[in-house]
Amino acid sequence: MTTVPLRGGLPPNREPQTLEAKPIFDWFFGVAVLAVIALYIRALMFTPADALQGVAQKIYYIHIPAWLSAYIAVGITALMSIVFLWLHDERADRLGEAAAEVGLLFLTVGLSTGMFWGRVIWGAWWVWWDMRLTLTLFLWFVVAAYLVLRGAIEDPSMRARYCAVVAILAALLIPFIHLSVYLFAARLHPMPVVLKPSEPSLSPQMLVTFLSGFVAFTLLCLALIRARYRLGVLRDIVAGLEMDGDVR
Amino acid sequence: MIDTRSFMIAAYTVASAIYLAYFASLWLRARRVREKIAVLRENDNGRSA
Repeated sequence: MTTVPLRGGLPPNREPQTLEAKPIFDWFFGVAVLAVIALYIRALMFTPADALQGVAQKIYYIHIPAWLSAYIAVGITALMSIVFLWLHDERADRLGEAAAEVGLLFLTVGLSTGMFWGRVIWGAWWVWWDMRLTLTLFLWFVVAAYLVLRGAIEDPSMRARYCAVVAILAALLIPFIHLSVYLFAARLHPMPVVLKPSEPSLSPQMLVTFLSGFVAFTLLCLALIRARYRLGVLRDIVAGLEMDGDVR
Repeated sequence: MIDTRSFMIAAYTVASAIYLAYFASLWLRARRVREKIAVLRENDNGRSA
């Protein structure tokens, strides 16, 4: 098996000192956390309950933005994988890894919060024949497989190439998941209430909370990817120092 | 009859717990890696001297 040399301008142990000195959680992460806290307060205390679903509908305000954030994170992983395959830049691989881990986090939150909503509205924690549920669980396993694969291959360029292929396949699932309510008759999931061609079918107050949720969780997603990327930089510095020690 | 309020609170609690656990894991991993960098740099300087 041939290995492709990684580019990135600098070997791992020569990363700019400024990146090493920076804390992994900074002001941007603080802003994201404050936005999520504000969303929780608005959703739980200042947004009316749905007439049909009652207060269980408030789970939507954390459930659907978690899915959107997962899509963004998995999308970034796939995009960075394409960039890596094209340019062999180790920074793209590192950013892809960071986004995949955060993507798995949001997928886990999306699945677990959805189960609580399903138990109240459908009377079941899980329904296997609902295509959206099954496909999202499949996406969870593919992203988990990506991270397991990263831990299983030692050669950096081979690891980056194999994982890039898995990431691109994972991202291909996203349009199917979003459109599954239109494509398959086997569904329990409701049709979209906001992301649809016609205007949103929510009261203005609920819509503001809903959109605030999108903003808050997108900020949290980007802040976590940034923090995880910085952890990746630190790890590469350790790898470089260990390699230097071995060479001597 | 299902107590919907309990399920809603449980969903928010579980989501918050998952986010907090990930935050803690990132923070702990970063601290451990920084400690390792300090030790490796110290060894490196010792060898150079």
